[in-house]
Amino acid sequence: MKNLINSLSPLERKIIPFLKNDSTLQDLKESHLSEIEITRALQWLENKHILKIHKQKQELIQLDINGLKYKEKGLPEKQLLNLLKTPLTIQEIKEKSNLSNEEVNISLGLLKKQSLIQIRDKVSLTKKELTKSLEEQFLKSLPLQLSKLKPEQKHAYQELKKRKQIIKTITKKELNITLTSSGKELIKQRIPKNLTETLTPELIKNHKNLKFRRYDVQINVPSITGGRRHPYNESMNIIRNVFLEMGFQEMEGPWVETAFWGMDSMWIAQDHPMRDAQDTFYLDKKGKLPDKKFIKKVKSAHEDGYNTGSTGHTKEWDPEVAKELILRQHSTSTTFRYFYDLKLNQDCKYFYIADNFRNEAIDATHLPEFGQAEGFIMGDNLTLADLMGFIKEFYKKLGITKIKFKPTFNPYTEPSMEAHYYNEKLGKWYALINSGIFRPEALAPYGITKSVIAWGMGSSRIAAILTGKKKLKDLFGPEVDINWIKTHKRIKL
Amino acid sequence: MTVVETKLSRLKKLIKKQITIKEIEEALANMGMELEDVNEDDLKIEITAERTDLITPEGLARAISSYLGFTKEYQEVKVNKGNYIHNIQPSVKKYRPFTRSFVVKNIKLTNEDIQSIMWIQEKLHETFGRKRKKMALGVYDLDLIKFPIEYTAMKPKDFKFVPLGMNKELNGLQIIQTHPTGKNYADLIKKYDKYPIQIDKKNQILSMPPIINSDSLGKITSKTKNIFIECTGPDEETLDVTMNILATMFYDWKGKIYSVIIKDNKTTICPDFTSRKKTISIDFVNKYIGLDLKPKEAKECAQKMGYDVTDLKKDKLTLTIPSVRTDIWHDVDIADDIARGYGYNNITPTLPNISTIGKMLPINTLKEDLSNLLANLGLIEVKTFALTNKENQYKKMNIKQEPHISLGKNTSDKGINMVRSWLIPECIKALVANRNREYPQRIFEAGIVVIPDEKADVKSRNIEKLVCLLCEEKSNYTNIRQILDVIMDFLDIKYTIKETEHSSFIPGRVASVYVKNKEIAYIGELHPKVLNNFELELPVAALELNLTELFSL
Repeated sequence: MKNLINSLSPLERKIIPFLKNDSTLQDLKESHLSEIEITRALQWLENKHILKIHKQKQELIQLDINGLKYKEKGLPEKQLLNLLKTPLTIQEIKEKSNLSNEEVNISLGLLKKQSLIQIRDKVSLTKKELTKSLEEQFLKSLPLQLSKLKPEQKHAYQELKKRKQIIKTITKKELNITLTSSGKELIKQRIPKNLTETLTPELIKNHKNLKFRRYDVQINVPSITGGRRHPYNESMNIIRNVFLEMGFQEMEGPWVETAFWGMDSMWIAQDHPMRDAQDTFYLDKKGKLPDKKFIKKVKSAHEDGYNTGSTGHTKEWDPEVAKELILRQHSTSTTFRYFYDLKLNQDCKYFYIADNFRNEAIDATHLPEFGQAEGFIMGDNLTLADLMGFIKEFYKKLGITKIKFKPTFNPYTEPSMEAHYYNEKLGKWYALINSGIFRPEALAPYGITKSVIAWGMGSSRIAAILTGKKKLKDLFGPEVDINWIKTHKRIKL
Repeated sequence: MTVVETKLSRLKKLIKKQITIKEIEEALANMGMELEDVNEDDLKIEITAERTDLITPEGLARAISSYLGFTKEYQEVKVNKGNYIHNIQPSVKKYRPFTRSFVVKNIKLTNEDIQSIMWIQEKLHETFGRKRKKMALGVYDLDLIKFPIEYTAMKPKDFKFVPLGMNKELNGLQIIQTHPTGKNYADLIKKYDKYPIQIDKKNQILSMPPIINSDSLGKITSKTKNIFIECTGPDEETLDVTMNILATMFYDWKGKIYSVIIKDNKTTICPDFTSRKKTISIDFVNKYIGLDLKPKEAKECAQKMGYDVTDLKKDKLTLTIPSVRTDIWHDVDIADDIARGYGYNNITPTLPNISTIGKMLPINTLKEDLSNLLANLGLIEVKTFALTNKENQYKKMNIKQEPHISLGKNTSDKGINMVRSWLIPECIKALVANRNREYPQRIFEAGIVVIPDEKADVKSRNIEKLVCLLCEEKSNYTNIRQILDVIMDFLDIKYTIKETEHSSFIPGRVASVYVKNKEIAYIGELHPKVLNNFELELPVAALELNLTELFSL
């Protein structure tokens, strides 16, 4: 009880002295608190099991327009009775009273019915002593609750209800409270008034005799938000960290590419469907090719397999086709730029989390831009088994352990392999990673004698899985709900 | 990826063995195909683009059958020598230079077979034929045709015939102008002064490749006994493979295949099932895949994948590549097939110890540090689109068009015609989309824009930008300047600021930011005109910082 008393908030302390079993809101207004403050304080006290709030609809009887008038001057029949101390003709009554013809007629009828007057030439009283009528008393006692009327009040209510705008009933939501046993005890207690609410610099200095109000620590508090990173980029950072932890260096490359770096540089044939304008954004402009000696080797790789023993595509390779500028469809273009620019032929690992583009109309599940993350490892005699081993480790770092491998086809890797993972929630296998060993025809022009294994994945898809978003358009782009960014949960792996 | 639709009953009939759907599914998965959907008897099988030979149920049945060990040797098609002559006239050489054809006799066709032919024809047109550009084919009733057949070219108004699905004669021009299929594929020939046609000795036009066949000759029914098949295109190899795939199909339907003599400047017999032989080292396969196969095991794996193994000497495996396989360029392709025969999931993953040091790109470290700083300051990160349009980048921003990266004419989404050249307009879109959300809205984005650069091989370069937008009732120059100050103080970089003019901003409330005399940012309050253009009701203070420039200093 002591803790309870010490945890009372200022509002609660103010209302407690006014609490009785069966108090109504009306009763509690004596506390001079506003209605909102009272209900808030009652709610808190209810949470502390001090009282119970009962909300009910009440029909309240109130004076109507005529009722207000009659309350002061008396009911018309009463006014009439007062006038009839001397007998009067009806005409005289109408002249002397301040009543309307209608009121006079109704009053005469009423009084006759109650045998209080007799009507001959003149109207006269039958009794000398006048008692207060039930209706009069009823009006004086208003407002009253309809449900709590006494029998005689009910009669008066019925009678008055018939008459024009004397009373009205309105429905009002009422609340009253009943005290619990601890409530009954609480109101007997002395409620201290000098509990400390807010700690101020002054109070901190002189805190010895302070008594702090105890808080209800379980109570819900209003929510706040602050600055946040975008869940999409948080997902990308997770992928980046996985690559970094595995010893990969990060790459970057241009969004606008020549078809050469996008396709020819990795031995994608010049009649490959990837070159269709339906799939690729063409800029209707041409760029420049790298040095001639190198181009000669690439041309040979396409046409006759260069020095690899491959048949090649056995078709003439046209440098003009390779000059077309495009928006890159994949970031493998950057991988091959790194082969060329850095003359790589050593043990190394590189990765790239990149934005790529495909010529597609925007709807909920299709976007012309999408994220891809890819990594390659260059080393001696790297095998398909090695590729599997690295992919397994990579998946494991993303929290995925149930995987299987499936052969597929890519123009620049052989073998080419998909790594499917089992989605426990959806009970289905999904392809997330595409991978392979770079073809000899693709590597030979760069003078690479080591082998290169590589894998890539739709990083937008991974972000969708990590953040639980089904539609890409809800995941990134200007239309993403800012409230989602503000309140999204930590990404758990 | 191509989806082949066929029936389980058809596959079972072709395989001629008791086989469960589960076995089919596993064999397909191991070979790199996928059983996508099973609906009672209807199957949908996804095949990869390079295995054109699997586009027919017959090709699939052959592959499944050998993978499961039912057949050990690849059964090449038996071709009978025919006396049919098919001439290629010089007139057609500059439009669509090549044709190939063959004859099938004594065939019984069910309605299901006919449907299958039509389906395969369309699928081949779409995929291998690159929407008829690379290859278009036609199937005819042999008994209605008189040899020799001429592949030639004529002026479109100089010939007419009844095209498939019509009941009156049309000339070449009318076909591409009025016939539905003609209109669809008109782009392939409308630039020519003459159109390719196949015409027989009786002057009957068989077809106008690659558009449409004759209605009377190019219709196959269950009464058709003998068939003539032709295809045309710019590349002989594609045509040869197409004819081989179809001849294999009809052969598996118990038809008798007869060759046609194609007379060009040289003479070719079609179909030609001469297959390539290759000898491969098993040691190479083991080292490439990461296996330890014994010669016998390697042989079995190759057989499962449809190779005829003709010789096995110690480490050397000599095999015949089926003529329909167009995807074998190098030994690595055979090594991969042996790995598929072994089953990828039977391979033990290994993890070689390659010691390397991980390293993040310094520019990305900078981006991350600044993004975290801004989030700590209470800003919300957004990620907008890179592709946009001129209206958004320039007109709505109340500025004149500047040099930019324009996309070509064939964009699928009509709302897109350029790559963003600055970031503020795209971030504004995020404010627009969130107008019904609580304010203040203080957002930022670190992202790439692309600007023209004639010196670069790709005539452009990526620029890393950082944008902050403050949108609330009282956002003003002071607020955004405070953000700039925090950023520059954090980076420990001194800067100067000069008033500038920029019609996206309110005059007198916009400035350029300089570091070592290089302009690295602009900052200011957006002009009410701009806000109105975007239907934004609250003021916006904006900052766009060039991180690439800043980083290079």
